[in-house]
Amino acid sequence: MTNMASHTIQPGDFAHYPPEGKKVAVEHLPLLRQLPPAFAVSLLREIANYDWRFPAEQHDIDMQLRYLSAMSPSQLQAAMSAFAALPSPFESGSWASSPIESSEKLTAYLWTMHQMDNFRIAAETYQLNLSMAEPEVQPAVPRLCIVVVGKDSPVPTAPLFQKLRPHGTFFTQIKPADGLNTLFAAVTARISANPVPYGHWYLDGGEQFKTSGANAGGLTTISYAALATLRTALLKKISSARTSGAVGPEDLRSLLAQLRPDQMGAAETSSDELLRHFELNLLTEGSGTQIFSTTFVQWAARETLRRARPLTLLARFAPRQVQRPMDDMLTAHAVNVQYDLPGSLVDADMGAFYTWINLMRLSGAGNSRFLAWFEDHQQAIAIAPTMAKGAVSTQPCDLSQVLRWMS
Amino acid sequence: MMSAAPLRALAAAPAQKVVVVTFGGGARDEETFALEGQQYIPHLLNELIPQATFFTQVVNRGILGHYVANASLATGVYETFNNFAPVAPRNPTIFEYFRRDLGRPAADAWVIAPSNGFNRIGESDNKLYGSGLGAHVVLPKQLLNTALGRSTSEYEHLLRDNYESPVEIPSSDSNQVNLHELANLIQLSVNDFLAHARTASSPDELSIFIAQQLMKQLAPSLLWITLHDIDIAHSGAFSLYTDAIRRSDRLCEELWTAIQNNPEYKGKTSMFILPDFGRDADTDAGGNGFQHHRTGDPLSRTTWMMAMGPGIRENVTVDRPVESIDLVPTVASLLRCNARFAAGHPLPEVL
Repeated sequence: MTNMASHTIQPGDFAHYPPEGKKVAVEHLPLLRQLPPAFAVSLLREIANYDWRFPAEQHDIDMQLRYLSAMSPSQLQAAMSAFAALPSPFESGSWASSPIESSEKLTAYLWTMHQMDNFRIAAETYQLNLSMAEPEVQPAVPRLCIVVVGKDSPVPTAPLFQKLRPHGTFFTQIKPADGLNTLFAAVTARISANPVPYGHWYLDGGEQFKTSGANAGGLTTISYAALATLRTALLKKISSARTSGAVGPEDLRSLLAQLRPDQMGAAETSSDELLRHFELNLLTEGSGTQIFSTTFVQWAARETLRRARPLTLLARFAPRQVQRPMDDMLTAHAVNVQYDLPGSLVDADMGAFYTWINLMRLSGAGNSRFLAWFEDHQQAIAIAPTMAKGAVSTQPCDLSQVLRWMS
Repeated sequence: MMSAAPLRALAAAPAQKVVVVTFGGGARDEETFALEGQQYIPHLLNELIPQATFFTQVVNRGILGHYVANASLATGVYETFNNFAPVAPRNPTIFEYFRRDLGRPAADAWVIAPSNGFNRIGESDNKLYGSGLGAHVVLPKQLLNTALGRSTSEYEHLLRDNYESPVEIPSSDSNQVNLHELANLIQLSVNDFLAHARTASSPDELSIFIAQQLMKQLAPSLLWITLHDIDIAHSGAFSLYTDAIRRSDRLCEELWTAIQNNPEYKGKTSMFILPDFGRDADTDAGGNGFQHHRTGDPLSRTTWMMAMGPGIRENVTVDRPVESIDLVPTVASLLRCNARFAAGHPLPEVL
């Protein structure tokens, strides 16, 4: 197999990139031409979406380009050697012009060639070297992540927060009254103290909670209910593609990944263009987010932490619909929706655990604060440097006290 | 495609029978045999493990897609075709080795599999084997769809499909059995089939029901069942994933009990149970935990297998790593056929 070397990348390949992305790509064309396709395609995928990336992500792209540009030819060759050794499916054509499609093609090809493990090793090694050379910026204040689970759910038969308990203190006597207002007040205070664009987030699996804190300026909010029109429009596209008989699962994934908000017509949601792209990404890149609100909140929390790297995140799970035939769930008819309350609580419990894992992947992890609470009930788990690990507190208290103990 | 004539034309069937059950939605150790997962598998843990040789590290080094991985399990070679393409395996399947080497009729080897994509798993396109030497393939959900036409409301729970492959794949030539052929063979009217389907709680329950009917009526020597409810994990709902594991656990025990209660099988049947692979680790940043199997990390490549039956040691644990492609040479050895193109190695612990 002959590789289509990156040195054939032309400025014209970036014709369909958005303005800022195009500018970044053209400015770094000499560097891009030196990179093996197996590496370049991932970097180009980021650059092609540069205009719709959060500030933290744009910083990462810029930093990565600086890091690579500063290398001597021999250093660059050494850094890229593991990627250069991988086979490439790009025999001809301008693969750099459509990096989303190209990266999907590369992934499938590497699996087929039994090279996925080598790609993993190459990527992990590169990431390790990058993070040593360019350490991630520490947050201005310790991050705070709050997860609220179990809206409307009955008391579960299995103990809650089992996977989180070894890492913090489990409270059994929380006074639930006014709990959500207390949490939003804490979030609002953090916004006032640290007003950072896309630095404070509220995600809800149902309707947005009605309180002054939930509408605070500087709080980026996404609710599953507010995305209903967008979800319906997207499900129609999925149904149409599925029944056409001409689109396979991988093609469908590529098709969804390339959708832009302006192609969703009246289903556009936020007035913030960056946020509109993010909302659409959550529904097109996250399996199950279109049909289960619990999956949506877990995935949205993961992507918010990974991409926006906020100082504050409040994620609230809501009941998801019961499982129905996939054909039915993927068609947009939402008549007589029934909810699986016990199942939703189990999903949210696992979602809380995954949100904590994703928080721990960010800079300042050791100093972060994490709180998960069973909404309107007495159980909560608090993880922070000030909280004992693997401990149980039976002391009656309210959430404001717990937040103070965590700070 | 095949004759319905004498259902018991298998009088000279080989003494040894083999039943293979794969979980065509990968399952992780955390939700099965690890301490925290044992709550989901009480039957495997308490009733089957004491009767089995248990392999704790079964590594799948191939493509982690369910059809291609199950095809690899059936050929003993890591197949490399597109997981979503309706194509036959390139290498001969265990069904072909068995039927050709032992001169067995078509009715002696069966596959029961989830609908999407699996219709070609019974027979390879290898020129030395292939055409006419494969297993019959039953796709219960597709049968149900055919029988129901448009009136599906009572059976909605059985028509759930894999989230990961929701696109309708055109059917193609295969050894797939149609509803009337099956009804004829297992002496079950379409109405009785539908009546039973109404009481089944999931597609996998329907698969096990059909397996038991086949065992009663045809007593095939080689029966391969792929359970698929677990793959609901791709939708991200942990509760549905673990519910499906509980169901698979119960169905495996029911199948083993049915084997012990059937004189055609009792005392001469080996059963193998294994997930086709694992799922991504919670700690791998490239994945999203249990939801997918995309990272190729060690957890997604490593699973377990249990083997039980006459001559197989009971309550024994094997900790050395083996590969999922070792299944075919092992089954071939039990059935006394030659899996000459298989890349795996027979497992001496069960032979």
